Amino acid sequence: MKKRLLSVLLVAVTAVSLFAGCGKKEGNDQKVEDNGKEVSEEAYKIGIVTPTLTVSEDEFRGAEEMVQKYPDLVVHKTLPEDFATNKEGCISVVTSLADDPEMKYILFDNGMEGIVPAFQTIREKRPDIVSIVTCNDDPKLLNEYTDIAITTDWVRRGVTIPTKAHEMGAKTFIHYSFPTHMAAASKAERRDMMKKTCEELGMEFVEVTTPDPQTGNGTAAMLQFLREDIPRQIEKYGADTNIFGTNCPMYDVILDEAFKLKFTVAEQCCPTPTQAYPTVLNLEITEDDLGNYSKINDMITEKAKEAEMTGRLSGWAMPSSVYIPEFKVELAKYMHDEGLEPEDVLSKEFLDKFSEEHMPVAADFQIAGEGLDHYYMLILEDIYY
Amino acid sequence: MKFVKNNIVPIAIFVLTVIAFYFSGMSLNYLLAEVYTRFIRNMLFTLALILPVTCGMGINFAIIVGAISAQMAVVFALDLNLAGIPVLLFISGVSILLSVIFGALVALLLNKARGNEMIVSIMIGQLSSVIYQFVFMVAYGTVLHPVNAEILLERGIGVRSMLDAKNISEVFERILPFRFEGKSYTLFPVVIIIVFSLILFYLQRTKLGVLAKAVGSNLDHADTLGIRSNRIRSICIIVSTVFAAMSQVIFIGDFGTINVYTGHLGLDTFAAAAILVGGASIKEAKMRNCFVGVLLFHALFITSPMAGQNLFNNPSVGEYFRSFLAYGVIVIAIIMNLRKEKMKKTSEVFKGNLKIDYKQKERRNK
Repeated sequence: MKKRLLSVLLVAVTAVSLFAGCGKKEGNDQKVEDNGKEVSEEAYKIGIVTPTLTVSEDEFRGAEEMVQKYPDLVVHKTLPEDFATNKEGCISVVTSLADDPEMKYILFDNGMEGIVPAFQTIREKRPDIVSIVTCNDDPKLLNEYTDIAITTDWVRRGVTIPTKAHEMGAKTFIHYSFPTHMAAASKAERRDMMKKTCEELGMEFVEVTTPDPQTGNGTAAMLQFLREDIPRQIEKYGADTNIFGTNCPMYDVILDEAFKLKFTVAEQCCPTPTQAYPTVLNLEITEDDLGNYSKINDMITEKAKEAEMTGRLSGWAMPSSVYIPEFKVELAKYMHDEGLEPEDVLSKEFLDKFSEEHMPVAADFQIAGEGLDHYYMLILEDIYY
Repeated sequence: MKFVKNNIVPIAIFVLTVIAFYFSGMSLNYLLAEVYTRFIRNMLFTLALILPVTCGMGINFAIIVGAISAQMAVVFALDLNLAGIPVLLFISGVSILLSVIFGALVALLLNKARGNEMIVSIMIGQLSSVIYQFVFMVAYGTVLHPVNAEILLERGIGVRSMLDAKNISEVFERILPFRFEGKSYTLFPVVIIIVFSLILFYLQRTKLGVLAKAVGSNLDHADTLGIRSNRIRSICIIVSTVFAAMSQVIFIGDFGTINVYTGHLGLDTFAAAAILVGGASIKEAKMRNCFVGVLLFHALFITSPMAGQNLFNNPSVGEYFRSFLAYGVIVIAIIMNLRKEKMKKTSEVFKGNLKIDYKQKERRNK
């Protein structure tokens, strides 16, 4: 009897909750229909996939801003939270966009590995769809299976970050990473470049391995290790040390320790004012200030001044992870409006000029390497706090 | 009514899936195509769980070891630049060989951990995963020298984190292809799944299957009856590991690329969730639980995030909605199953036919 009661209850609860949602949905549905009518004249859509808000705020906000700017055009979907182990779930999200016949551009934005199969599927199923992708998959695979791949130039940053750290007065350069990251070609190459640049500049390069967050145990052990290890290292090498970590969650600890121990952070792994700084510095960012990077940068500069950290922190004026999704949406729209094919836009001249004319911050593009015609990498302007 | 009572978990999830599908706004063809790919990729993993459950060891989370065997076989095959039918024979042969060896080792450990098999199997899975990652990250290029240097990182040590398994997927695509919605699919994995299902079906009806049931129903009694329970349990674990290895072979063949360091992670929990959703418990699992479970669990997994996004008109809610629904459903499934089992036991004791029932069961199995 109890069981029957439980089952009835379960069905009732789900039914009620879903139908409660249903009432809510009707309004939205109406909106979609209205949109549908407007879209039907143009009859195309741009789909963009990002991580959820809690995994990476930047990509999510970049995409959301584009949804607000072009509400009838841009469709935004989010990846599963456990994207490192639930690859099938990620792939489903991407391929589901191709289920919409009006979809003409699929943009992907997440620093993950293993999403290429989704684009293999899309190319086979809907060869008319143009894919513009940002992820950490192998460049050769990306070049082969996506139409346009754009990422931040991690390897070139292997030169720019130590150089900047040197200019900021660092004598030691500490590189925190873990095995699965060091097995990714781009990150390993960047580490090697950093080591080489440090040697050329006469800085000591120290490599430290943290517990691996990608092998099923999450970030907690890694963060705990950083908490304990950073003071040890600073005691050993002094405050004229630059700390770099290859994984975004590390910066909650690195920046917090930086404000305590006064070492330099020339650049985060994904340079942005909105990552780690707001939580570490308790920045009160109102809803209106979201996306207002110059204001957020000013707040950080002020806090850095209070803590006598001026000149010891640097980054990019705007996160490339917000910049790139916005850039890609603008590019896709431009390509559609002007009737351009991927081959037409894949050149340094075009991309540099496009970023200058259509984006708030200019970018410097470079082809990713020999034979990688579909793969371009960019670097943005610096800012010092 | 009795049918509903006995299958309340799958029915509840079916209802949820239908509702989620309605709100997801996706086409039925898309859902079918997605469920088909998920089905072929995950089916054997779930079937691999049956024998360990039957012989009372609970859910064997160490099926990861099987997946690792297959991953190793595939990396070796890519290293040797094999293609065509030879690659298929090579990866099946090597992965089965490795999985038998590793499965025997896992069984050895699990037999020492009588009564705590599930938690120990989770730990074995984690340990073997780390050893495997270490071997391919460090030993390749230093101790082992690959034939095909393409699979290594630029620095010459460690395998790339993702490799193109085109050679393998091409073979799959050539056998029994069919087209659906503009994309070609293959029936070959279904053939493999059918063959392995028949093998499992047969195994359950052999002496091994009956003895496994006896071991599962009461380990001590089985021992006093002279059944070599450790041997039976070992065989069950080895078969389970081989199934998992074959499943990973299908997975990679269908995927077209291999994630060397992370491709085997998370598969155990999905398989466990699917079998529970199918109405099985950690004490009793039938093949139909697996088939129903895989279809329902993945259908819900595909539809629920979209349904969440559409219902709340917010892309970030979709993901939480999926997690909430998926994990909530699993917890409810476990609780309901436990209740069902408890009720069954008490009602049998009240009727005084507990012993008779066991005899009947054994007779039926013969």
